[in-house]
Amino acid sequence: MTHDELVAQLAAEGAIRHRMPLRMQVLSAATIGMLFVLAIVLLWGVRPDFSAAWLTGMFWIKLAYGILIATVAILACILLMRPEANPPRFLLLAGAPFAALAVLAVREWNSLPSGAAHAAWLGETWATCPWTIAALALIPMAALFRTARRMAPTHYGLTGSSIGLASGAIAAALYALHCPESSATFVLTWYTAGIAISTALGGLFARKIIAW
Amino acid sequence: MTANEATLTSLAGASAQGDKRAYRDLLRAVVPLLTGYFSRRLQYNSEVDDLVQDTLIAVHRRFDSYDTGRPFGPWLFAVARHKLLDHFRRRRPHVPLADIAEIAADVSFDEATGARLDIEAALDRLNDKQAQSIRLTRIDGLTVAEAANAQGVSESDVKVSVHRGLKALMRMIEVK
Repeated sequence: MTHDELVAQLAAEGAIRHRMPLRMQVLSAATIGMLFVLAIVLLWGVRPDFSAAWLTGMFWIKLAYGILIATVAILACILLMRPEANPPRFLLLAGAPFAALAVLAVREWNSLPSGAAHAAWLGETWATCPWTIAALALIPMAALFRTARRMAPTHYGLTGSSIGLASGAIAAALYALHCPESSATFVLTWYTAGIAISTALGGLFARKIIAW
Repeated sequence: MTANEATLTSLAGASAQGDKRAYRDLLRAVVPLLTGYFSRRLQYNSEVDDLVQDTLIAVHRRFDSYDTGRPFGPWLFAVARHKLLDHFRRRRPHVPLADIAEIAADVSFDEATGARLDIEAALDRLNDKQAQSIRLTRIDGLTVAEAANAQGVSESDVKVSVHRGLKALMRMIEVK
């Protein structure tokens, strides 16, 4: 086939174009994923002490932790969908909520006698929490990867990791509605672990899923 | 006749709105740009033709990833570079991709065509091997190992070509 023939064929098909601009496609994928996770969390039921808990600072810190990380990660995803994008430095800002929470966690640890500190750190659900968050994250991950497959990311690992990071953080934020734990050391360790698992999965499977 | 950045960007914008004629004109304008880009980086015409067509298809399939608020040139050449790196990778599947240095993606369209024509004019006065070695290592940001693999020569061959080529370029500039 000559170049002219190929051009004629492609031109006849017309430009493949979604109704929404790129950033809206990413945002709507993240939102759809978020709504599904929210539905599941509400099905499990909010935490038993919800009516008291939502008045505490720690409840909102747990939510903010996931929301802030997710915001940075989603912005990175939007950028990385374009082929000419450079790896964004601002992605490092995703570490800021972790640093802030770490300060709180250290304060909490130091303020408790060692037995209580240890018990707070493990809580009731340390063994299941990270895996639950990682599992919930699969939903927004699927939606975001679906969008990525239509786009032209050129940094596969970083794009996949950003998708995993965004998905894990979304899941962590919504999981906080259900999760009964209120310890900063707990959240710092086990919520982060769940987000990290999701990030790693996204990075590991990126090439297989989005390579073009 | 090279299409300028503004024309291409407006054609791309119109194409995104569903203008089929604009899309056809865009694709037609893209072919010589891609041909020039790949000819300067590859050995064989058949390779160049394959990559032009692969990239055209990618431009078509991935057009949704072009943000109409931005210039079309960087998007186009980023797609082309992606296909080029893929091509090099496939030739020797065991070369670790981590070795391929990504060049700064903010190559403006002018850099890619207009201003770079000055460099290209200078490079065209070198022998093919020197010109290609310099393009691959200094402009495209490949490592010496990757450039050697791409050209099918030894690494020291590439280093010597780059060194001699740059010396020749400097002599040309001094003479001017």
